[in-house]
Amino acid sequence: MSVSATDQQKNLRPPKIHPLLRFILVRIGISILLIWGVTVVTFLMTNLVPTDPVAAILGDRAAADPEIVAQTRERLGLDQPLIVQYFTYLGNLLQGDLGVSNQTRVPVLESIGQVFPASIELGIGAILLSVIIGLLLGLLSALKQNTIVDHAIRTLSLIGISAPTFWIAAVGYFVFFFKLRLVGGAGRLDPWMTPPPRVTGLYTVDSLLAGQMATFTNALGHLILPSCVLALFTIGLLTRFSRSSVLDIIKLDYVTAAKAKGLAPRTVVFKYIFRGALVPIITVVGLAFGSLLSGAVLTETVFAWNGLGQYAYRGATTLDLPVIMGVGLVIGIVYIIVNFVVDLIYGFVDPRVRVR
Amino acid sequence: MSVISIRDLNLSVTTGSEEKHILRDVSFDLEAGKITGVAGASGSGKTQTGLAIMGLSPDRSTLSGSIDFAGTELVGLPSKKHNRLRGRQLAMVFQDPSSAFHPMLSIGDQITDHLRHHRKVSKKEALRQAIRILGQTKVPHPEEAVSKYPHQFSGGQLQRIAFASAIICEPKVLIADEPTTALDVTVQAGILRLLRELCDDLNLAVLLVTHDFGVLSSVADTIVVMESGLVVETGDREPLITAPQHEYTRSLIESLPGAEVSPR
Amino acid sequence: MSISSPKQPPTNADSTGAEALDRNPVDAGIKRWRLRFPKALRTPLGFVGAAILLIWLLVALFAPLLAPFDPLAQNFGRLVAPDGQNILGTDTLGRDVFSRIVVAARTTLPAAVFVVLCSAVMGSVLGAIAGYFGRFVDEIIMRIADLVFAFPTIILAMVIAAALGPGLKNAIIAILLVSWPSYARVTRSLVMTARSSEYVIAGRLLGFSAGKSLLREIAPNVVSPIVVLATLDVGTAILTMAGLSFLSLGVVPPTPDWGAMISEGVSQFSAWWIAFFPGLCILTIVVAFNFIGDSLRDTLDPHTAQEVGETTK
Repeated sequence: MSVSATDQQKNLRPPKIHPLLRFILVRIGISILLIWGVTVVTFLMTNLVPTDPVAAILGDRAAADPEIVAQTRERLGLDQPLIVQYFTYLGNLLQGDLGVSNQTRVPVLESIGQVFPASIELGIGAILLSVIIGLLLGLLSALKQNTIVDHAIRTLSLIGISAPTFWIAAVGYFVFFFKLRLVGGAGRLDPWMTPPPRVTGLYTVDSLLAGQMATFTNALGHLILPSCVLALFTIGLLTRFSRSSVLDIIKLDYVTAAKAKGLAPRTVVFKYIFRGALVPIITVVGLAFGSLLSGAVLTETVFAWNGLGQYAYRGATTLDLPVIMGVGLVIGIVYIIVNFVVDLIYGFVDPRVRVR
Repeated sequence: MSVISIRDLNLSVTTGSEEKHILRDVSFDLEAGKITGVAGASGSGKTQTGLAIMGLSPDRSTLSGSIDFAGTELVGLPSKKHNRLRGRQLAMVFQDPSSAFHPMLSIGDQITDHLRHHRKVSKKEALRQAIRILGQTKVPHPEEAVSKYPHQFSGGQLQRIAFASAIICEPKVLIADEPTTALDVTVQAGILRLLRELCDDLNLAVLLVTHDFGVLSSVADTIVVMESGLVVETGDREPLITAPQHEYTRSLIESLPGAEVSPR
Repeated sequence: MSISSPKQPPTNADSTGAEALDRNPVDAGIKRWRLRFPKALRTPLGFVGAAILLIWLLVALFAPLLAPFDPLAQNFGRLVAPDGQNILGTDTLGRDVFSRIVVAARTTLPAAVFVVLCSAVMGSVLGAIAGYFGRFVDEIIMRIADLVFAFPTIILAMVIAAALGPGLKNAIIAILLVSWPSYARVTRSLVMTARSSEYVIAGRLLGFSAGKSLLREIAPNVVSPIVVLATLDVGTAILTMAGLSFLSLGVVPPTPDWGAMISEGVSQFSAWWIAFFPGLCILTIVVAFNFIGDSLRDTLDPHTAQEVGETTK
């Protein structure tokens, strides 16, 4: 650790590529491997089905005829070895072919493209709420450790992660819309409103772009309850995590050192403690996003929110396998990409990764 | 005349229903331009003495007795008033320099934020002073150092930066808590030499806390020996080392290589 | 006498030596576990959790005695509001909600505990194998674990359950397949640290094989974090199971199930009781497990607690 030794090392072996670039390349590599793994999982799951897909497609009468069955198997490539079938599947995926819904005969990718922005709008609303509220509650809880405030926040956050999201959705909808009429009802807009011209697919953003204030407030009124419900679980998650993260940081020497410099308590908390606690918290935000996606699949139906979740719900209740596998694949990929972005943010925030 | 005079200092910490006495009737003085060394094993309360002066005793602890700092009583001083002395009049350097700096803030930011807070100087002026003070503590390339981050320095360099941060507001008292323990043997002597220089040049009253009696025998003017929260022996370096009165002091000295203590 | 001595005085060296002896992980591990398990339940949250859980265990045990009516019989008017006869009302088919809730506890509780036990055993064994053998085996097991983590839990469970077809058995298999990796991660990292630790090396010097040392000396240390993780995981398993039922991928009707009851009641706003009470049941029982698990987690030493983590995915 002596001065001369480290200097020598630096002179002898200058790193060929910038550490940040290497960090990004490694993360991209890992993400691509994971996405490939996800395609293997969905492929295997589709082929695990105990029921014969041919029978499902043909219906009972045609399935009774062995010749038609054999023809269909050949047409679908089902007579090929599994590995060949996988590469056909992968080739189709790369061309954007996720199969066709058994129920509606609409290509899965097309439907997902239509409903995706609705879920993104909901997801952004919920993640913003959970990060802001979760971090502040966690910080407060840690700073007031072992006081009544801390106990109350800890208990509430535990209850928050214990409630079934779809039930909270139903209760929230019943109380705030059905009884109190405080928020907008089912759907993304009131039935008599027309959606704003599509630019991003997010009604709140598009209505602002089009300058339709009435549509904007209406869309916001519909967005607020689903986002809050969806955020409840992740608020609990992030509160608990940021509390323990802050408690870890508070013990560190650099916090005592900052106090020993006579800085204002506000500066010590936000410049030193919070900034240090933020790094591990950032990595959990990706995880929280996963819970949000899960929550969306379970809650969107309650709010008649025409997004990915409702699409998945319809697919699941009708056992529409191409739809379920398509949604699983897309959510898996989105989740991996979000975690990749989260890792990048982590890399940019932490100078130990950014600067050599 | 002493800058800090500690009299009958007691500190106890309550954990659950247990009350633990960390310091018992500790008394000694710190004088300007002199290094007072406190020796003792871990858990002897030497670090807590330093933290008590800084007003950073642990939560749920009670402090009694007196710490007089140039006429100001520090025991029971409201935390706001204590905070105005910290960093400006009372400074501290910690054991492990690699953990005493925030990994995500630049060196320039971290060694000047208290200067800007206490003296209300501009960012530019603060950086100018930072570069000057880094030069004074012999950090190589001060102009570049201010924009670097802690992980880009070695332990010895970081400890020099920590001293720079400590003296930038021209304090009267410097508490150095085991400043060489976490460092390589090769850089320890340099840090001790720096401490001596700063003490002499700035007329600082230095409290040097260490478990390493060898460190004290090289730089301390006065030595305080502590064991389980009690001061067992106080005295000037020469007489204390050559003719220790207390059994514990003798065992500390005998542990040094090549030390020979004449039998009492 | 040398001026700055690199050697530390004996007092310090002695004290660290004594500390190392104190920290003999085997004794410490066993003692810690025995001492603190009941203590955890004495914290307010732990006590409340244990009390709620006890009530639910009794309900599940005596369900046939508690349920006033046949949970499957459609012998009342449809959507009757709670009254003296049907204390929690009736559902869309005229079945007694209270009876259905009580009977559903008999499937949910054992199923959740069973699936968590299975995934704890499966995950710990796989994690121990990965940590013990390292290299190739480790790579394969942990990459599969990574892959499972690459999906949000309920999404992967949904995909698996849909592929296998609806039903309690398949739901259990789906949850098992998505929940073992967290145990594997914890066990693996504990085994890896322990493998290279001094007491296993010391054991080898005394003639124990590494495997035997691991079993004898690491097992006690692995047990407590795994139990904590499992306790918290029962809650997650109940939530996932309810989610699958809500998606019609769990328990097949007409067998009573809380998630399916909520699913049925969600669209019935005039009959709020159908969805409200089953949800309350899920909430209370998951809260109970989380309260107990959280109190237990606080009794672990900080390092292990970190392994278990604040977040069970």
